[in-house]
Amino acid sequence: MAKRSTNSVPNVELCRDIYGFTVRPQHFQKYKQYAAIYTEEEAERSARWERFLEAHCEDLIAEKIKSGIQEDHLAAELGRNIDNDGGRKLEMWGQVRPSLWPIEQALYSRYKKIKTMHSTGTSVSVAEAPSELAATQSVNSPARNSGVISEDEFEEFYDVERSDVVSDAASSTIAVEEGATGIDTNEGSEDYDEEQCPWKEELDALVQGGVPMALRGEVWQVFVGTKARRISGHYQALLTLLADGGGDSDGVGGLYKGTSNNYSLSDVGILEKWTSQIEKDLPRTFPGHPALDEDGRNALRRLLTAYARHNPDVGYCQAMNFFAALLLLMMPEENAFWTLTGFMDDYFEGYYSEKMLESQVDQLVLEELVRKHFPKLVSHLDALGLQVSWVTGPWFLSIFVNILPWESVLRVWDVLLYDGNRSMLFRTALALLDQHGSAILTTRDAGDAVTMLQSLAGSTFDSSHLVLIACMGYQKVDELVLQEFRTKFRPQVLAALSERSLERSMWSRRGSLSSKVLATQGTFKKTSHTNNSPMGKKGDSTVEDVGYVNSNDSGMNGDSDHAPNALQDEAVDEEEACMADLMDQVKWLKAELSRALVECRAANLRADELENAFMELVKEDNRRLLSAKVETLEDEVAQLRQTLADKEDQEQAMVKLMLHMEQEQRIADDARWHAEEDAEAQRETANALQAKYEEALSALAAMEKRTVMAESMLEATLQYQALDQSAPVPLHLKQNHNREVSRWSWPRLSPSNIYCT
Amino acid sequence: MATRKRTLLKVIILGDSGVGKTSLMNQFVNKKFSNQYKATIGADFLTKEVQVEDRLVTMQIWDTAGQERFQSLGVAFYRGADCCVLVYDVNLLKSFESLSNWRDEFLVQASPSDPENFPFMVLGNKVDIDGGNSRVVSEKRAKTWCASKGDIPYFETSAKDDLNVDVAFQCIAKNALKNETDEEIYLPDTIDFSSGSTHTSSSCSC
Repeated sequence: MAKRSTNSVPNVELCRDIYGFTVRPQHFQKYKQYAAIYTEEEAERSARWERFLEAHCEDLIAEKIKSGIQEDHLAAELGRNIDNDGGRKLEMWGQVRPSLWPIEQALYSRYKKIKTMHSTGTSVSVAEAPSELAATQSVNSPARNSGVISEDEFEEFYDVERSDVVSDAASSTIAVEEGATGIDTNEGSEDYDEEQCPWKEELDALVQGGVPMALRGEVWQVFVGTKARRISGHYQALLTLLADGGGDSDGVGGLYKGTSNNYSLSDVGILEKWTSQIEKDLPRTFPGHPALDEDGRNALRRLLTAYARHNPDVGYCQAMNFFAALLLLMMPEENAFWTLTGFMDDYFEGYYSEKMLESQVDQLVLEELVRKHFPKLVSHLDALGLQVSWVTGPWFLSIFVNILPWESVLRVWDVLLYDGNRSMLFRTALALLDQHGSAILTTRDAGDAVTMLQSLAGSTFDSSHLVLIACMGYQKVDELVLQEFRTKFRPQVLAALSERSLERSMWSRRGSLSSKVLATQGTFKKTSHTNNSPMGKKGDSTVEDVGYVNSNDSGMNGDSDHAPNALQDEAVDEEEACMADLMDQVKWLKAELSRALVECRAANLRADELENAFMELVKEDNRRLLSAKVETLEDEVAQLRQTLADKEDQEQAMVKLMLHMEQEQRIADDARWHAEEDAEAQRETANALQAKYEEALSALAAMEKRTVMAESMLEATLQYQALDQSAPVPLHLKQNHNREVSRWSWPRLSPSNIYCT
Repeated sequence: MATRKRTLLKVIILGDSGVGKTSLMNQFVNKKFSNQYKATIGADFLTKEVQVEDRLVTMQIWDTAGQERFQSLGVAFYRGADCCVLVYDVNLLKSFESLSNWRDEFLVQASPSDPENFPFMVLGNKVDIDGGNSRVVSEKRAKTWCASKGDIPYFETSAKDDLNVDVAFQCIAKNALKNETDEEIYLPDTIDFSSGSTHTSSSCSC
């Protein structure tokens, strides 16, 4: 099984690529186009890696050779080259070539930090792994605590192991690195000691450029820290259990159902639940691949079963078959096991476990990122009623295996394993959407969009371009950012999970539970009678269930043989009578009964919870009603206030108006007063004029008097003169003179002259 | 008008791991059978156009992973399904016994408006194996179960020999359409191109 992809797979078969994997017929033309490019790239990167390794590793190798490791290494190398059939045991484990040791040593610090974090932190499943391993190493330490182990303990067992393999050469490194404490798991410059690893950037570029096929298996091991993780003998121990434990019938309990991690040979009798799934998937793992012959499948079976035993929290999850097979194509079996363990436990912790929590969280995170980076695409997909995660979920779960062309898959894995976390998944997905998003925008229904996205992803042969976009274009999508998002979304997923299990249990209470109890009652009337008392405490729906059970009781009493079938479904076929012996049935039914009881208790608890929640709701509802009333009242008050204000406004307006009128009136009064005054003045003037007129009249009268007087005087004078006429005075002279006087007197009497006087 | 309309039907295939869900889908869509199918991770998807009576119908078929834990993934795409196909292997009792579970799971996740009358379909696959001698679930038993769950239509199929596959999927399309007619009244006509995309979405989310 240790066949290397480089030498084992000839590129003859029409529909298989250089790695021996099938190429889809619709993509074959495109693959042929890219095959030449791949060959060119491969030559280029081989040369670059060779130069790199030569330049940076000589000193260290020299040191190691001095301390005598070369011999071990040679032995291992020899062991690996032994023929498949003859040397199976020997080639289970192989060392990586010495030229890679410096990288191994540099990356070892990262592995150690992760471990330190896990063993001191609260995180469980990975932290459990070393404790379990330690348990197998130490001589039968019974009932070892499954929880957290102290760092010292871990250090101890690690050092022992390490010195086995590498002797003191490495211990100096450990000493150096022990000083450096860090909690950051993400791959970054802080993970490296600058002095120790001056070529980190160069290595970054090399990895992004791809790992040469000839080195890939070993380089991956170095990235994951396979050697450091290995505990010699552990894999063999797991295999021994495997050999002893096979061939059992279906059991209710699994070997690792509990939390305890230590296992003894007596437990092995119980068959693990994963075996049947693994068996189903063995032929469905890269079917037809030349390297996956019978030996290959056997190795795959061993690997998967060993992992399921090693990490019972995960057990076996579909998709792991592909990972395991891929690793087996590139490295010896035990190396593949520790590599698989490494990235399953560290990179993908919580991802493939029973609840697949992290997987769901990651999809929410991705959706958020897609929303941020491609708003147009998202709104299009929203309009189509399509969630990105329906497509990207399988991408992530299979780490792009069977999704992208193989060259691209391997290039993505190169970076992912090197990074030490799964952030590359996100970057790759974003790069794919970046490349193909515009095409997706042209689709008109969800089906077209999915089909197109799948097909475009499947034909992303330009792996260098993909990795470049992923690593450069989406550089900022790193582990720190992702962790932040995960923390944000995790509660949401947890809530959805618990809601789902609640709904599920309500369903089963309505459906299958009633039938289960029904069957159980039919067979064990007495036992189920005791069962009824806790059942009675349940809510109304359960009481109904019980009632239903009782009403059908008599019907079911007759054929107790059929009980197991009735447990599974209500339609019992007479012909399919169960032939199992009665004692087994009893046991099984008892188990079923206890399970039902547990379920019942859980249901009770849930009912209480629901009731509480309901009460809360009711309270809240009341509060809401009250607040609604207050609001309406407040509204009314506000309205009244408004009216009042309006009225006030009006009043003010009126007052203003009145003031204005008053003002006007005053003005009018003034005007009248002025007019009166004027009139008075005129009257006075008139009076004055009258007075003057009268004065003038009186003056006139006086003048007339004087005129009369004067006339009379004149007459008198004339008379006198006439007396004198006896005297010689001409008469006409006398008359002229008379006329002259009267002429002068008259003008003086005219009214105009009166004023002058 | 109905003949020109492009109707979308969303079909979900459920069933235990290895009963032949992917094979059935591929036989129906691509008319091909292979012994070399890969295990389905998460979900897979194919579309096929079929003629039902006078209507052209696009079937969107979602093929799901059989392993139980994949159910805990947000199976959001159950929602809006027009039909659910439950598949079991007639040679494997456990796969038949799981049908109830799959049905419940679907109803819980998809929460259709009328769970009692939601169109299901049961397919007993792999009847070709060993000439039918290795089968453990009789047709009668399967039909009884289907009858007890509200007269679910039942077909015995072989994806390998292409037995009943087309017939079954035709029936699926027909039943899904029958269920759809009530809701159709509320939907705008999809022929209207001016706002085509929004209409498409509304018709597939019905």
